Amino acid sequence: MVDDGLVAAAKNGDAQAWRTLHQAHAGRLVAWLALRPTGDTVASPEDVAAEAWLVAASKIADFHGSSSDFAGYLFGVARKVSASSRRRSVRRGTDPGDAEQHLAPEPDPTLVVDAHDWVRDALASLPPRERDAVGLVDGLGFDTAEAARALGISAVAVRVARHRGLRRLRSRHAVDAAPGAGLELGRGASTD
Amino acid sequence: MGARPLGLRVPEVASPDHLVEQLALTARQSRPSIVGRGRLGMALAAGATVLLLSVGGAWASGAVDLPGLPDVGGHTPQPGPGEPATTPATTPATPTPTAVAPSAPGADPQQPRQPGKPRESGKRQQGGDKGDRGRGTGRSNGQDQRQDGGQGQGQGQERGQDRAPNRGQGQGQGQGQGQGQGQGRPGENGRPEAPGRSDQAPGRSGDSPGRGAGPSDPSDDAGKKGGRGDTTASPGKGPRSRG
Repeated sequence: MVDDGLVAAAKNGDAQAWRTLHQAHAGRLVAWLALRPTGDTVASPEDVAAEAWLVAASKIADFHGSSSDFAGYLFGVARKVSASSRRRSVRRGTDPGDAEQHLAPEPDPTLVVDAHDWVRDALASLPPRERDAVGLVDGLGFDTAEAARALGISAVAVRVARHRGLRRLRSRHAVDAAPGAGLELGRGASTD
Repeated sequence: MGARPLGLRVPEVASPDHLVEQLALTARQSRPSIVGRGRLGMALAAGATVLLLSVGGAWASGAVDLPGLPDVGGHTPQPGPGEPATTPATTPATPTPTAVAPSAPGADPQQPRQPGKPRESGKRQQGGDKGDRGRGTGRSNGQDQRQDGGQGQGQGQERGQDRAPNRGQGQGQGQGQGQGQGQGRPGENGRPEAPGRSDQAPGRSGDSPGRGAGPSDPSDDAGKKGGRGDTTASPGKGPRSRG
C-alpha cells in the first residue's frame, strides 16, 4: 500500500500534515471515545484521545495507507489505549467518592447535556461490540472497512454487530415511540 | 417526532501548536518496529539459521567437508563393536609387551595375600582386571588381583573363580601407578587373587597375569565375563586386601 502525500509528510515529521490530520479526526475520535467508558473518572475522552495521538505518531512508521485509512489506524490505536485505561482503572479499583470527600461538588453541565443526548444514551445501552460498530458506522460515518480496522475485527463481524445493534435499538425505542413516530435508525450515516 | 439519525455530535477540537509540534517530533523519531520491517526479513533470517544448522550438522557428522574447517571424522578409525570408542588418556604411548607367563608373580595364586594392601575395587575381585582399563581378548581364570592402585588396563573376558592354581592367567595389561602387591590366592569363592606386584615402572602396572592361555575349568568358572573394565580404579578407593 502506497502512502499518499499527507501520510508521507506526516511520516517525515511535517507539522502541517499533522495539523491537517488532527483537524480531520480529532473531533470524531473524542466523540467515539466518549462512547467507551473507561471506568476511570480521571481519564476523560480527551485525555485518552491525546494519548492515542501520541502513540499513533510514535508508530506511524508502521502505518502504510492513505489519509482516509489513517482514521482506521488512529481509531485502532485509540481502542487499545482506551482498553488499557479501562484495565488500569479496574486494577487500581479506586472509588471516585474519595475525591469528592476533598473537593467540593461542582455541578457538571456536561451531564445535563449528555442527558439530553439521546443517541449517546441509546448507544450506551448496547453491548460493547455493537455499540462500537453502530457508533463508528452510523454515528461517525465510517465505512465498514475502516470500522473493521479500527475495531480489529473483520468487516463481516462489523456488519453483524451493527445489524444486531440496530435491531436492539429498534426494539427498545419501539416501546417508547408513539404510533407514527418511526425511528429511522441506521440510515444516512451508513455507507455499506 | 421525525426520524432520528444516529449521527453523533462531533465536538470541535482545536489543534494546539504544541501538540502538533510534539506529534511531528514524535513521528520524526518513529522507526519501523520488527513486525513493521516485514516478515520477509524474519523469514530470511530463519532460513539462514536453518541452513547454517544443517550445514554445521553435516560437517560435524563428517558428511561434508568444508574448506577451512578441519576434517571431522574423516580419518578417525572406527572402533570395533567390542572396543571402546575412545582411548583412555592414561594409556602410554609405547606399549609394553604383555607378559604371558603362567607363573608370573602376579598370577601365583598360592601366595597369601598380604594385609594392608589396598585393593582396587570390589569388582576386581571377581573378574580380575575388571578395574583395569582396556580391552581384552584373553581369558584369565585367575583373579588378577593386582594392587596397582590405579589405572590399570585390564584385558578382557575373564573367567573368575578358578580354583586351580596356575590355571589361566588374567591378562592384565595394567597401567598402574602404585606399587601394589596383589597376591592371589586360589579363588575362594570366585575370588582368587592373583598375586602380583604391580610394576614399579611408571605407567604399566604389573604385567600381572598374562594372557589367559591356560585351560580353564568350565565347571569352576563362574562365567564371569569381565569384559572391558572401563572403570578406573584409583588408589584408596578399593577395599583393602585381606590378609
